[in-house]
Amino acid sequence: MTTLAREDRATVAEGSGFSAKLRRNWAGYLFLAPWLIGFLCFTLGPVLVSLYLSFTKFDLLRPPQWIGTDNYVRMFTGDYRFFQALRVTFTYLLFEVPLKLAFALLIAVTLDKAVRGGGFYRALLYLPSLLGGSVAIAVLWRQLFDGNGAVNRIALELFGIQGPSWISNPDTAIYTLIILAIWQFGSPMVIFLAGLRQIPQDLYEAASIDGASRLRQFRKITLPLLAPVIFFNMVLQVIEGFKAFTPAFIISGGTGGPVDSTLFYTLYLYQEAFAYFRMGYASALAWVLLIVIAAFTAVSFVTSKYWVYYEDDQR
Amino acid sequence: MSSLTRRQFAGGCAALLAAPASLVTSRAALAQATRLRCFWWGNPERDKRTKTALDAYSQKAGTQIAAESLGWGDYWTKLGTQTAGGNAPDLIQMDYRYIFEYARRDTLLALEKVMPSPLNLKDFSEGARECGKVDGKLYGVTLGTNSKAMVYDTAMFEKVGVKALDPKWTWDDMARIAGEISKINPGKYWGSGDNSRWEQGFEHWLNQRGKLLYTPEGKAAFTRDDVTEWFSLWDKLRKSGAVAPAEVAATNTGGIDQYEISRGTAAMSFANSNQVVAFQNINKSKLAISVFPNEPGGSSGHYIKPAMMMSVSSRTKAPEEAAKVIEFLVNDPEGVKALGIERGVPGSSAAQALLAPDLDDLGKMQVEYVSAVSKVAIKLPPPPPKGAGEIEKLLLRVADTVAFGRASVKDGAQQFHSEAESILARA
Repeated sequence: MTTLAREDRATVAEGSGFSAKLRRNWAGYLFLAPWLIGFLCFTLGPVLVSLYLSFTKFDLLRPPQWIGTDNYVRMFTGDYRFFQALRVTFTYLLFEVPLKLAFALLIAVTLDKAVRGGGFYRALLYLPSLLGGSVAIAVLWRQLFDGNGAVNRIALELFGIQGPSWISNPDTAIYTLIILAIWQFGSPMVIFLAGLRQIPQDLYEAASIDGASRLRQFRKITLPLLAPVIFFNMVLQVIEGFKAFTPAFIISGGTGGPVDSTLFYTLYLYQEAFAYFRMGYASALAWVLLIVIAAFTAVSFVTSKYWVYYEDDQR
Repeated sequence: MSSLTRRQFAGGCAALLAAPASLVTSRAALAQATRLRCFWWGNPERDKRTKTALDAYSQKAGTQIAAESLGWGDYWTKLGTQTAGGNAPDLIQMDYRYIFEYARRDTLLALEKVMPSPLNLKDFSEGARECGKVDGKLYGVTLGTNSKAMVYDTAMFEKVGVKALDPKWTWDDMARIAGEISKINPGKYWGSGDNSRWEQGFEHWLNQRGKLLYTPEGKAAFTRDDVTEWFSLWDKLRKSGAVAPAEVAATNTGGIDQYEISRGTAAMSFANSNQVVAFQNINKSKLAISVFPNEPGGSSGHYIKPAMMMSVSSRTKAPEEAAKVIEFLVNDPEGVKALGIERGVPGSSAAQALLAPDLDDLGKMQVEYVSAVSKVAIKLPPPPPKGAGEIEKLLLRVADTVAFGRASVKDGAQQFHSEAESILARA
């Protein structure tokens, strides 16, 4: 009690409000400072500047000119490449996210059962995720799916089929990128594995005594109890999918080609900014992307009420 | 081992302390010497030659030069960003396409300030000197001149009975030769790469007909009908099998290793004369260069242009030093020899004479080509307007759309023409 009283007196003596708090907590702020300064200078500052730039015409060499909402108006009324970029990105997400999650879950369930050498296989299967985002793999992908690439040679040897040049055909190019993304299933797999370990084993025991098949156990026990983890992985993958850039950039040589079939949103943004030096327009594109991602995440959270159950839910 | 006395220990410490101190002082001394940054776009061959030349200069003059190079596409991105950030390199390799834009925004140094000493261009031909001028002032020194050239595989041409390609050959000849080559290894190897998507190829074809790509005022000088004709010329070649199909063309992203001839899918590719050095470097079969196919009754369409220029940033702290480097590269025998003719034929007659005796076959071919073309060359067209770079990429996209059969020749031409005009209006 005495301490409290003393503190009260001290507060009165030093004046109340912010400055007093600051004086009391200065050590805390000091420790926080490196991160806080970094955040203000390198994250919040540029973010706010980009909001300003999105209302300007700015080509880097001359100072920005204020043009109001022209960038946004043009984007939605006169820019078919913007819509193409959205179409490509959504196609990518539509296939990549569910397939990657399904694949990661399949592998995780398999690994979960295997006891011997589990750690080794886990590491091995995680490897593509470490490599997949790199330039070298994108180049390799280009070689694999080229007209005379390994994929076609194998198909020719085994089935006698002469395949097209997957990577340079506007109908198939995007799918090679989707396969590349699915191949990097490592991080959702590891998260699924952790989630699987959390499921109480007695539930499975009880189910098997009741005569439930493996598949039924998976549907009735594993999936519902894993729902929070699936949800978490899904949100992460959607956000990551919107930000996909490197593979498309390398494989198309930065053009988003052939015929804009791999023009990811981020790639289009990059082109506008750094190939055509329209920083204002690119900033506007970035803000629209931010809003789209935020909207998607919000929708996921709202709908999650209907399919994600937490064990401690009182429902 | 005897035990350490206190004095010995102190002495040792002092020595240890002194060592880094002396390092620091020598660093400081170095930092005071001029340090320049030089930036160019290139290929491995050019990088090697340029670094050799810059090192030789550093040895001689004691100037430190930080050298950096990138591919064509990334180069302009980085240069634009650095220039905007007030951090432009001192020595900037410039292209005719961009020099007007950079000079008019006061980012380049008018070189009259450092002429005739230390930079002296008295041995340059008037044409080679004038092409670096913007609004009457000199902003870039030509490192080499070139002209567009068709690079071809001589062995393949011989296989179809073409021993020496006649410089008067026409588009019909090209269709015939390419068609015959395509028959050698059907479905795998074609006569020519698809050139409908290359802006400079389109420009050349316009020039042959006495037209221009852009007016001096920076407007589109071509009509929709021109584009239709250009697309249908290549459409016919593609459909007859003389030219590689869209799938092969679409993977050509513009690097020398990406051209059809380098990837072993076609016997002809359309490029620039100085690039033959780099092409030959990565091609096993013997290459040669020729003028583009002629338009009967038309002009050659070729012009001599500065392949690359060296400019100095207007914000450099050492304009004199930077000028000395350029002087070394274009006039000093050591610098001239290191660069050779990889960037094209030098602008200075003295440098040309100096290089002549040591030229290999490729070098001779290039010099002879440029001098032969200069006899039939047309005037250098006005510089491309702002937005031209975007139109270059637009053509690539639209031509591919047509090649893949996703748009008719007519619709493609309409799209290219109207979008090009709107890009120019916005720029």
